[in-house]
Amino acid sequence: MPVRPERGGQAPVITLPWGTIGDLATAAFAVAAVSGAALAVPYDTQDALGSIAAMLLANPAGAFFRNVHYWAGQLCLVLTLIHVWDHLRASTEYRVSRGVWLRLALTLPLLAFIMLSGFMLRGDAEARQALRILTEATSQIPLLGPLAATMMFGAGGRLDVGYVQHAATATILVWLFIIEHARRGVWPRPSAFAAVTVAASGISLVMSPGLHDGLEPLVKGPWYFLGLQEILHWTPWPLAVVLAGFAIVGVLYAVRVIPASRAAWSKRFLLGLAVVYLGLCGVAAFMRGENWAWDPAWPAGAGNVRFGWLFGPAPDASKALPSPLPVVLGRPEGCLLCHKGVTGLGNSHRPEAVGCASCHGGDVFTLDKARAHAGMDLIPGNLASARLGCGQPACHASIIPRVERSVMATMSGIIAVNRTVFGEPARPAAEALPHVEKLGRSPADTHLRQLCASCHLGAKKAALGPNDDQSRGGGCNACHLSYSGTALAALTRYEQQKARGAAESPTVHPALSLDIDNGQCFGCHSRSGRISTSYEGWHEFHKPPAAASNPGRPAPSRFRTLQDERVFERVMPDIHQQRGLDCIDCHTSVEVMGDGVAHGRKSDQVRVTCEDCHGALVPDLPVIPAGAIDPESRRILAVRAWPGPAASHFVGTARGDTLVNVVRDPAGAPVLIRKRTGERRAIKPRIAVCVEGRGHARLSCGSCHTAWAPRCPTCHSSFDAAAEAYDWVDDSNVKGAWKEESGPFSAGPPTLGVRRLTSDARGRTDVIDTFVPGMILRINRPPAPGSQPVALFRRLYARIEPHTTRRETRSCVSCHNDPVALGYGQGVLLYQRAGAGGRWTFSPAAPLLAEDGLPADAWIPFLGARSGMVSTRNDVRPFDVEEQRRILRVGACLTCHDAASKAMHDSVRDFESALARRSPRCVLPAWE
Amino acid sequence: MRKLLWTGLALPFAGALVAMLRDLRAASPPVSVAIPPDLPVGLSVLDGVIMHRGEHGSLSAYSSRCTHLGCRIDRIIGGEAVCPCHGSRYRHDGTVSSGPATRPLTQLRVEPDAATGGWIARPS
Repeated sequence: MPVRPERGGQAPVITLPWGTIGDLATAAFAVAAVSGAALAVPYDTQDALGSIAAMLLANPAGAFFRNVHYWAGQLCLVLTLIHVWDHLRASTEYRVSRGVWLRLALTLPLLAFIMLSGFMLRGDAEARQALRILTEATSQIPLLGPLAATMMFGAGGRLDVGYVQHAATATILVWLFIIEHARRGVWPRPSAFAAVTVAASGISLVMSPGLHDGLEPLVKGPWYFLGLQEILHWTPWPLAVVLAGFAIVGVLYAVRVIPASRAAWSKRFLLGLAVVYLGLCGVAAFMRGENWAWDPAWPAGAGNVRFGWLFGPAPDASKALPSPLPVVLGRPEGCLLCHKGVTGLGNSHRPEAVGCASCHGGDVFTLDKARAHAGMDLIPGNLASARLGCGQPACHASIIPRVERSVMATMSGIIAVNRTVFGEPARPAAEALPHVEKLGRSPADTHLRQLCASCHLGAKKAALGPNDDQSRGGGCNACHLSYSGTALAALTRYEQQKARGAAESPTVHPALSLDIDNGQCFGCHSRSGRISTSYEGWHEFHKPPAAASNPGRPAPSRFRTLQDERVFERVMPDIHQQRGLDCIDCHTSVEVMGDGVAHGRKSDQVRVTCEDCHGALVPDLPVIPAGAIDPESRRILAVRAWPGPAASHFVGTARGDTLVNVVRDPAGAPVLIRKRTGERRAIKPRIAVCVEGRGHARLSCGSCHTAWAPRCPTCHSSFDAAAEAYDWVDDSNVKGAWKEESGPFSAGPPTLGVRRLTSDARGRTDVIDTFVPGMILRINRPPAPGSQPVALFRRLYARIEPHTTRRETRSCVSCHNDPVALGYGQGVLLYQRAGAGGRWTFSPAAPLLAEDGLPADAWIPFLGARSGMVSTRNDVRPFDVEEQRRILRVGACLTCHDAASKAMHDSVRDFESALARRSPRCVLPAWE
Repeated sequence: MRKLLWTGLALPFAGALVAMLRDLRAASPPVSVAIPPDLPVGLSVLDGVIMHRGEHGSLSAYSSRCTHLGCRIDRIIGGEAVCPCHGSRYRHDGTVSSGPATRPLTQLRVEPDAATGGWIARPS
């Protein structure tokens, strides 16, 4: 660089072809001042954000002046700092008087004020926080702090005072101090002026300072302020930092007044401080994320610099921009200028209220399509990004953490059971509850990754369109996103246009609502326990007959084929389904979205029971006054807005949850309101026989009222190391595939067993409940390195709520005389009378398995017991021998007495008394 | 003498300036905020107020102004109010969970609002 020697023997200052650094800094200041004067015309302090946004959207020339003002200011700051370093290095401080040097020292905080006040004048979220920080920091100066803060920044968050101080007071003072110390005079060198103008203009055409849209969670100040924010993050005494700032100005002044040798050290100290501060700015820019947490990432955020040609394609002259511009969340939103008249979202999410970017992201401050859509989320609501859309602080922030902890997101029960069956620890020592996104590479976890791990809410919805048979997951969309016929037609039209190369975005959006039909649940819940299909009365074929698979079969058909080509046969539907009830009519928001607690299994999260609606007569049903219901229920009621008078009382569950759709009619009888339609259904209370008598006191509702359950008794899982499979967790193909082969499955009344209770309104410690052969299977587990393959055999039954409830119950003999009900498997169970005592015998229909000698579909041996693992849960068990004998004792009676006879009715109420009155002709089992 | 003259001229203006600024600060009235009746259980933030609704219906409200440097707290994370500026965290009772803030949030007075069934939070 050419240098110009100074008089008096001081070191030369840096001179560039366009002038000294000071010339350039002054020129930058002048360009900023002139462009600021132009910017004053469209800028409005009463609506700073709105006026700037309007410039960005509809006034590119105004945006140009904003950009020039911004970049000239940045250049002025950087050049001034270099200028100060240059002259300190050249020791030119003695060329000016102490008074002038003092004012030059004060120029730096004045320049800092100009830069920061300029940032605050954006009026966006970052600017407002910066205003609060600076006001508070200034206010902490003893005595005059609060008044100085008001003088500099105004009061009550207004920007007009700061604007005047920025545009006039500080600018004039700095200009005066520049003139006072400059050797050249008032105006900068023309070449310097030209160089800065060209540089600032050139940058301005392609780089625009951003504006925070109020949605982005990341809030940071300007780059030169970040170092201070990093320091403030570490200190609880902001006043110390403010006073340190004054001290630095003092050191700078002292350079002029102390002896030269000490001044040299002071200069080194200041230089070191500057380097450290710049380093802190870098740390904060690249290492600090939301809430100033340590989160290394490339600087991003709504307020950052935007790249792109400023003067983009002009809006179509035939589509004049509306005046005023559409405003959402207190600022104009460019999305609504192109995506006009969008309907279908429902009242709560209509674009006029929430805009587009609050869900989809993107840049709201531009009409350039590419820039507007950059960073946009086409399908928001997936769990991975739900926090930024649905879960924003102003929206459903409290719900997202609940859903994330829900078993429908974690699959914790499924994972624990699978690991237990594979002989692996259900929960490794250091792990909290299992989570599908943290599955390892063990045989059990690999098995799940390939065969089951798509059915969780964290699975991503990646394609537009409604949820269907094959849908899995999708976060909030899994339940709340639905397509009306019009929305689907609009989407179809859009996709057809896109295929032809020119598409207009649809104007009918799918709805976001509480209108959740059973189809939303179907995709996942038609698998595993098949409760979605069972509820509607469909049972899956293992090997469907040819007629069932024929797509040309006449309709209506007793067969149904899903999109994954599974074929189902029509059997008995659930009575609630026949009465028009949807899944959500029983299952509450607390159950489905979770209560915020990460439960280990589904049964801990499910809170509603049959007795909550079909409990005893009305006076015994717990009710909650309308004024005392929980806030979420209150909000749901407001959204639902069912016709008819508002209820004064709601039925509460045994666990204290409000059933928003179960009320009392004027006569006091319980009534269920269908959530989706508002239709009312009378609820039948439990009848006396359900609870009277000791004989059936331990029966759950389902043990009598479940019509059938899908039974899948045999399964073989093997691992083929050479084959490939798809890993649902990693979304990739992997080497080594688990394969499952199942045996024939059937539909029939479930097996019964015992489930331990932790609490019960009737004081019971356990109940008799419904079970199916969940896992009677063989697993060929791949070997660990250096060891032999392991063949596992498991015989486990699982508790199930089949969702095939009927008003009519199963018959007495279907429990007391049925080998399947008792857990023996299918076969012939006979009672033979021989003299004074009778004998029960059982001939199994299924072959005996070599592993344990029991029939292929059995849970327990006939009149026997098993030890070890008998179920996937440790709070359930099959009948023990004594219980089997008691059941079969009644069964013996039923071989002679009709189930509807007085004798059998008396035996339900008190079997021992009935037994004592028995006829001498009665033949009881020989063990009596 | 000249210094005395300048001081004599400046003092009244300085005094008037101080008085004007004091009156201006005093004239900025604190704002009350309406709290809706369907406020969810737990911590929420709305319109510059942080609210905690207990499971049994208790309600307390605090200013959302961070006691570190006055930033507006606008988010609840993990059951705590978190300041977006420097990361201070506050518990549901307004006390500091982690700094740099050291002082608890300013508690507001909560009064029932008969018109809406909700409440109104006012400065204490």
